Amino acid sequence: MLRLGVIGHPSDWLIASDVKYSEAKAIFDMNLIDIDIEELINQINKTKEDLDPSKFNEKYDYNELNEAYKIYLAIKKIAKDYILDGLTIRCFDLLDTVKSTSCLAFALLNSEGIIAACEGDIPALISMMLVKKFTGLSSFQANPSKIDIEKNEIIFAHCTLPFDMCTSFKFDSHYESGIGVGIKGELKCGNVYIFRISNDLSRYVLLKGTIDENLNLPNLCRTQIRIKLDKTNKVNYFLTKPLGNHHLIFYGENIEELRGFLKKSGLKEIK
Amino acid sequence: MKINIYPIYSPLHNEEFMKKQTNELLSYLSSGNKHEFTLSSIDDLYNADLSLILVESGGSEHYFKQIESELKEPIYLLTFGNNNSLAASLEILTYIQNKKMKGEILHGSNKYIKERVLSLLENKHA
Repeated sequence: MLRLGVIGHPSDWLIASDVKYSEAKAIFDMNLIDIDIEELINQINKTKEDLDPSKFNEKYDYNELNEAYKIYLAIKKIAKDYILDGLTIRCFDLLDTVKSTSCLAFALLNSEGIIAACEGDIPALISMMLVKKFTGLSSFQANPSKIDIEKNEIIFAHCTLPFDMCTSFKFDSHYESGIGVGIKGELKCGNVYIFRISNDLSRYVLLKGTIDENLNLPNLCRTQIRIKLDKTNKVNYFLTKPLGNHHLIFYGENIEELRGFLKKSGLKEIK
Repeated sequence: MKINIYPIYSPLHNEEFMKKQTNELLSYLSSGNKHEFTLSSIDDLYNADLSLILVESGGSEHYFKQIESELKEPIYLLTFGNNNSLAASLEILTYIQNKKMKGEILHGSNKYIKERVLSLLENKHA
């Protein structure tokens, strides 16, 4: 059984993302374990190890990077102590308490195979775990940010992504808070899937599309991509019957095993 | 006809920028027609031919919950996309539909939003 940590509760704005832990266990063989956010904050404050200045080639304020790196080390310690395969964190609580962000930590952890989802979003975490389990790949948790209905295109953005998904990256501040370390990653253009399961674990969406451009728009989270959906999929889904906010974007051609598992588990695919 | 709009937003975002975007959108929507687009209080929201919730930023979802008892179906969520406002609208619409209520996000190019709003007005008075 996979062990998933929920560090702090889901963020207050995730009003449609509550999951029944017993159902996650029954359907997906995933054990959700609540961990107090104070435990993470204490672990961050206890972490004395400093970042080796040569670890990253990208130039950025060392103090900011060092604080963000301590968050990474603290999360990793908690993941080890609780024997976690994945976790999600009410990460905005770190802005006021430790004055930094977990975006760097999530980029590192995901690329190391410890699945890390933002904002305490449990359906996103479960979706990321399923992608990893059935494709072996990391996925980019992102906000649908702008839609062009006529062109069947959608822009996704977030301030972190797994380092193993991007061809290059730069550090920037976290968009909403203007502090800490956010990741502005560049993704390879090409075929991707967009995926999310519903919070009641009864439905999922799996749309095919193509990343056609990395963007640099103001007033959005730092990593930004534009995806054109295949003709068989419509962006109308997002405006009329979405399954929540965060969706997962992943590369990969063979998704039939994932789709087959979801069908066998009783989840209905919505288009 | 009269369209009343109630805005919701999170203080985490730049209020001045949001208000500028809101004014630009309302100005576009009201151009070339005689409809009156007005920001309203929650008490006045339904004293109009069409009532919209303007989602101005991410993080406004729990503010929606604070006003939901005042709202009538279908709930239309108008949003321009910047500041994670579309993201918030998706979470809100999912919440609405989980409660078996009707709603729709009005988002896209300004032209698309305008056509959709005018279409809703026409249907309401057909």
